[in-house]
Amino acid sequence: MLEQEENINLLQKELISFQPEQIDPILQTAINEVIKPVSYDESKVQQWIDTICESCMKQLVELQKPLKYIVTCTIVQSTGAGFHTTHSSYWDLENDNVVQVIWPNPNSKDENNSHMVCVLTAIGMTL
Amino acid sequence: TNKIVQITLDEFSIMSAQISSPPTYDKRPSNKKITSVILSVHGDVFCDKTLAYESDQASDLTKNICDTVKNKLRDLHFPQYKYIVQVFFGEKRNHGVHAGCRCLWDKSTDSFATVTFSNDTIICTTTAYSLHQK
Repeated sequence: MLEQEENINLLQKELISFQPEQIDPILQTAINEVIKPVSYDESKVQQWIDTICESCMKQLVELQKPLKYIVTCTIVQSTGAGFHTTHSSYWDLENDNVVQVIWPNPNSKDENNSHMVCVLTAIGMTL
Repeated sequence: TNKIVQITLDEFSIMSAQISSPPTYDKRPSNKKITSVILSVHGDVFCDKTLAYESDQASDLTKNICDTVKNKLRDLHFPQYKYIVQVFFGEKRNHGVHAGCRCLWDKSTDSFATVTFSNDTIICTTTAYSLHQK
């Protein structure tokens, strides 16, 4: 009986909280659709950012969870300059979470000629 | 036992009604307030305006700024507010950098602020979001 209750609680929690495993593929698809085939182009970057953010937001809303979302996208042209991004938050430890995707994946060994780095962050917070 | 349960349920509904009323304007951290917090932290960290980018220090500096801004926002003691702080710290080398953000939230209670500091070798952008929790 106790086990059943625990299972139900876990299911309920999954329905209302931000699950990184669900969100990661959404972010990856959004980036791959817009940026993977192209090279850095100053005149189009802002458009790419808008498209990525909007498509992510649309898919997050379709999950129909009672959450507020923040999606941030940064695109940096790679010239060997160093940069750091940090994130700090004061929130509900159990249900709120953040997913960050860096493209191209620093661990992958594929050759990449797009001369840019994209950092996409999605944050989900309970109402 | 039924009576006791009934009373507790009523108390609970009163509590939740009190908690879910939206905050008045003075109980909300406004854009100006958040901006002034970030500006003060930037002022302390970048007091030497000619600070040069050093890769071994950059990581610690970024984390420092991020945590300090978050702690200062938390110390403002606005009830039921959550905060998110993001810092972008980069070296300037005549390359393009663009950032964008989309938020899905309650426009009347939630807000954000961005401050950018730049000199010849550094660019540092700090963004802080404040969200109300019912």
